Amino acid sequence: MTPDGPGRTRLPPSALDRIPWWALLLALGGLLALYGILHSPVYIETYQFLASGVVVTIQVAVTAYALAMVLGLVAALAQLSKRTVPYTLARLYIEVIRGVPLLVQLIYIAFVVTPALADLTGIRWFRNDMVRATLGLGIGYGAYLAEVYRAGIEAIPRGQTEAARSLGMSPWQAMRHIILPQAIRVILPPLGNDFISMLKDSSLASVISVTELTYSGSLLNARTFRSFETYNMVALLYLTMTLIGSLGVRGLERWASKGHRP
Amino acid sequence: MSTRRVGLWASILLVVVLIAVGCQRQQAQQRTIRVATDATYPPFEMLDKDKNLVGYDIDLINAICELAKCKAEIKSTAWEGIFPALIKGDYDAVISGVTITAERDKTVDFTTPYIEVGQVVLVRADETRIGGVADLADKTVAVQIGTTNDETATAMQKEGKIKAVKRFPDFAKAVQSLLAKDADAVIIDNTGASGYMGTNPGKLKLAGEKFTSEGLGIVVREGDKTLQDAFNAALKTLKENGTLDRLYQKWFVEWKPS
Repeated sequence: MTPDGPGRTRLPPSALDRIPWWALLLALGGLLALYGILHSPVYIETYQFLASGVVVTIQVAVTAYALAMVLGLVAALAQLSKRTVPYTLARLYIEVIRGVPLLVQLIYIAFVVTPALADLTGIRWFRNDMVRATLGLGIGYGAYLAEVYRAGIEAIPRGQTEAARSLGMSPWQAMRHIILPQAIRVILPPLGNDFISMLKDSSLASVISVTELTYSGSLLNARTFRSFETYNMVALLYLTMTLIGSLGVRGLERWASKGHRP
Repeated sequence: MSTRRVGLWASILLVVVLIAVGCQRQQAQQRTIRVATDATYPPFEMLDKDKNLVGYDIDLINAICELAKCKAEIKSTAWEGIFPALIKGDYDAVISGVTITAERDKTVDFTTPYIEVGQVVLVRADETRIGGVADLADKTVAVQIGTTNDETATAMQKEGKIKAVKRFPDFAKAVQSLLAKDADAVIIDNTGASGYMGTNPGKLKLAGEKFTSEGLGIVVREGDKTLQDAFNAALKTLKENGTLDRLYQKWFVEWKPS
């Protein structure tokens, strides 16, 4: 018996079906938390103290992630190249960076690499704390993203490249017009995943005196000893950022798979 | 050479020397000292409601700079990055309640101690099993990671004088775990302990007396004699004229966390 058989009417799909139940629960919890916060002077004070940290966290995460996306794509393409030099350089970058903890990388880049660059080029910009944080986190994440891109590109069947090539496209044209537009669909979910990781890992920037959200929380906690109010607020603010990020990625995924038949 | 010639040359030389000395003075007066601190350690350093850096160390470095005719530009940065930044020249000095140790003295230079602190055993107010540092053999102790208190606890654990050590990123979390009975005691400097006893009235007490005595110093780069000497001279004056005692009174007796 088919579900659409006689006697059974199928409800027309509504927008409500697409909203998962846990999102409703989260929204409800969020509203309750918001209500509690707006009625508590302690939380309002906490929020006011942390607000500038949120801005810094977003700045660091977004710029560093943009850099990581560019570096990752370059490294992924180099890695897929048949030439030895780009391939070897890309592998070296990926293996070395992936194998060293992000905190350690950040310390190397901020205190060894960027000061050397500043002395070498005379560009004072490299001494800026935000620039150093962005470079450190961006270079670190680029290695992970390179592997994400590679997985996405390799997921597209080889026949696609061959077909494009036989139509007279150059390897670069085939990559740009045929492979990458399809690979994006595969790449987007893990990219979104890594962006959310980046939002949280941006807290490491505090070691080069970038006062982002987590360190703002530590500073407030140290003075007031109101640990739970502080960390509740920190958690809520991160959660808000990551949820908005997830929604954005969902939107992008829907846009990227337009016209695609599974 | 006539005497007039000699007189002329001598006066030119004198003018040049005076200008040079004057310039040096000028430079010394205008020198900006970049100072790093991790403002998560009240009452030594913290941020007030308006995000100004305040605390014992902040008042001290400003008093020193007033004497040494420099301008302190103080910035807060997380502890993990503070010494790489000093060594690589981002900062000229670190004042952050740093304990002077022989091990640390190999990589950086310290001023003479500006305050003496001792480590104490902090326990819950209803604790009856622990009377002092000797009673920890079968107990779990919480500390902040990488502090001298951590070093003490780790060494004691090796000697079998402590059962287990729990390490936290800051003392607030170590004290939290003590109150939650995840740990039996916290090893902490007496200055920090009085702060936590003040914010948790009736919940904490000290088991026994201070069992060590350590000096806190201002940290400068290895070999930076100029700054070290200038700081030491200023510290000597501040000790003699009672400023250090006044600051102790202000931050360790009168100050209460808000």
